[in-house]
Amino acid sequence: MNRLKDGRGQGQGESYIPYIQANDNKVASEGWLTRTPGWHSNRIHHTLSKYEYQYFLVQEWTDQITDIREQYPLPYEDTQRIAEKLNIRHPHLDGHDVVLTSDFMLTVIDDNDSLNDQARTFKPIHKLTKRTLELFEIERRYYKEVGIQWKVVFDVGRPINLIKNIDWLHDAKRADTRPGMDSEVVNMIAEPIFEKLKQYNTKLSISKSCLRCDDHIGLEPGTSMFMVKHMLANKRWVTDMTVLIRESAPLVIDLPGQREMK
Amino acid sequence: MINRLDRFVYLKGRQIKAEYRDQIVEAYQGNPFIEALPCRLSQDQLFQMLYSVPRFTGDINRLNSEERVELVQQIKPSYWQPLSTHFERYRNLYNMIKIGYQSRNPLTPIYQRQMAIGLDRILAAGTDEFGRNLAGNLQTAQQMADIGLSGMGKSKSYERILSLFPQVIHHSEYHREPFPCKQVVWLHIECPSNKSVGALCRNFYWAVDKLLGTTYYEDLAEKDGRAEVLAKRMSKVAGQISLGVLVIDEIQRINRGYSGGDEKMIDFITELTNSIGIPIVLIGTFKALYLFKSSLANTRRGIPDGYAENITDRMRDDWEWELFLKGMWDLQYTNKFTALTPDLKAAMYFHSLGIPDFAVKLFMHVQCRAILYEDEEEITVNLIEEVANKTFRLVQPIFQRIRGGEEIDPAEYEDLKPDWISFKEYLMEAQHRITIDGNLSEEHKLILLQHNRRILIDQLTVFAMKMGCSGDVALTYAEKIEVQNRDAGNDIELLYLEIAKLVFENKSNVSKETEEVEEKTKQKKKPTKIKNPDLDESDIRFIVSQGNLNNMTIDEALRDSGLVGEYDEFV
Repeated sequence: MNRLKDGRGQGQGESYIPYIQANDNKVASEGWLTRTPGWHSNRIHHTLSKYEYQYFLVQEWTDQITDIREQYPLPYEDTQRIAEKLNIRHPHLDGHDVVLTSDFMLTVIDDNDSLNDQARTFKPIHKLTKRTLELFEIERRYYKEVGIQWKVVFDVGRPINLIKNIDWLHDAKRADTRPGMDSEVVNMIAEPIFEKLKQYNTKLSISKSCLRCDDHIGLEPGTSMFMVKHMLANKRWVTDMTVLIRESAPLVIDLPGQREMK
Repeated sequence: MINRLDRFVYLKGRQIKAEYRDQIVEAYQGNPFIEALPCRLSQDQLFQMLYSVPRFTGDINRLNSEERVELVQQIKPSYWQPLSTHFERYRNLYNMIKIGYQSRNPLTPIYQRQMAIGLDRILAAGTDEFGRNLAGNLQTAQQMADIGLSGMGKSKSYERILSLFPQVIHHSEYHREPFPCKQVVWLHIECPSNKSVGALCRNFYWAVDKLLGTTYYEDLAEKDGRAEVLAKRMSKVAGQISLGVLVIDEIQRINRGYSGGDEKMIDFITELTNSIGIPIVLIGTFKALYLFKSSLANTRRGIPDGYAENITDRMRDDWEWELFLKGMWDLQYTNKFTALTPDLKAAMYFHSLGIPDFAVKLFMHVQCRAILYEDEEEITVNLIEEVANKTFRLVQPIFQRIRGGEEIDPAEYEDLKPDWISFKEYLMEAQHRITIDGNLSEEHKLILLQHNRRILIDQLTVFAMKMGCSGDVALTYAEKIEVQNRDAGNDIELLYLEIAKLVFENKSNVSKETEEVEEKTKQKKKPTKIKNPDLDESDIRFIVSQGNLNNMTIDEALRDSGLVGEYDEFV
């Protein structure tokens, strides 16, 4: 209860504070607490399991989504009322009712270019029990009342290559995460690196190409690799994200327009 | 906490230091787990060990009647006549343990390899077409089921046979090499009543913890999962403690509803033996038969080769029955010894139907009766009949059918057993008889009446609940109707009718009342808000149960109704 007073579960974008944070000693069912700086929101995101993190990554990649609020609390009074009506035990800890949270509240740009909230709850399929269905039902009813679309997300059928690729380039989204880099430098070296990589890319692995490129242009080793990630993350360069990117294999990189022409 | 611990019933045995014995079979040689087992008993030795009677060496005639009734009471816990089936069970069990250890020699490279690969991975990988697991080891574990009537002495005989084996063998040195290891030879657990597979697992962890001082209960018990996951975790622990045989008693108690259906139960049980290779003995009554019938028909479920099934029906009227009866017959505490005549023998068989438990009870009751009420303390055919008709009153109808040669599903007479007047009640009643002589038969009637009354109320409650009442309400209705119509006799149709009336009356009353209340609260609530959550078609629970009917899994059902979002739905 006190968490709500602390401002948890409120705000938007950068100012949102998840209701449950990775440092809350909350029992993470899978033991996968992550704190990741977000692309959309420019704040640290807290996810409580591997699958939640992976789901989060995919949403980060999506341009249609402008904000991700994880561990979004449902108003206590409403969920209690719904639970009572359904004759379901409200979620509780040691006999005290606790706040029910949805794993993700996404802000989505819909077809009419207006912003739209949508809620998602993640559940591994093997953890589906009678009880989880009851909790789902509380969530479903609540969101129906407030007119927010709600869906369950399962762990099966997740696009694993895409997830791994996003994970690989996730921390290179902002140029200033690498010392000595800023957007000006990026703009200066982007074109020469692209030209150089185009020369190598069919035969050499991407890591070797990048090192040669660093050497050739006279950059600190690793800079080109960072640039690859950075440009892909910002979608200024493109590649087929459904194919697993391996640093020991060649990587085909294009400019956005060119790729569509092919 | 204490309550929590009380739930777990298990049998405890001896713990010994390992002594190694030479083995004749080559496959057994050099396996400390097998060499540490006690020698095989011959049939005679086993019978010597198992045979037991209540001990009394004084002169019966110098005791008063109360003291002799006390002795009669000792017959049930102490009298034990070993029969050929017991030797068979012993042989089976002994072989199972040895053969089960055959593939688990801790000194062989293959065992070490299994440990190195990790039990998790081995379990996950299952077995190849030759039955080898990931480490290439061929499991030798067997599975056995022992199904029989309650009262046949199944559990008792396993208890006695198991106690012939040490439960834990402590190894410290084998052929001058240090070999520190605890070997759990057997573990006997009972299924908690009407609980799930999960509760069974918890019971298992608890038993192991009590035995070895480990913390499996804390570590693993509260983690939930599907039956496969539970079984894997359990066989992993069984592998770690080098378990020889796992005896699961009262398997019929596992509730199908809680555990996700027959299929899952069968899966669970086969999973347990398959990969890690722990021999398992399942004991249960005929109610558990469903677990095996379908599994045997369905060989692709991978029932191990060494699968044995042992179904015990009631005893036949042959030499074994005679042996059993003769042994019991010597335990007479009446002041006049009655010899066992063919007539008496026939009467005993006729009334107990060859079920040992019934026979022992009948014999005890007959003696009690003879000692307390008869002038001549003598056992006669008439007395047996009289007592049997009273003691087994409630099972008489079905007994009649059995005697008439009718084929009866054994599961049917199972349910009747708890309704006997227990021995204690019988004695209590007997005390009354001595003090208030005239009212004897009335007292007796009262006990029976109360008994019947309770059964009747149960029936009515169930009926009312079927009509949609909650448990408490149903019970009050049932009691009310029963009291009101006590004079009406046994016209059960009438009682059902009355209950039905009551339920309908009250239902309409309730709905009227709620409507009135709603109107009084100034129509704040809309009339559509009548409490009936189950009728909402978009209720997730409804969707899932509907999907279930169409053989869809939970996730399929949800996906079908558009409630599932994909990871990349916005990409």
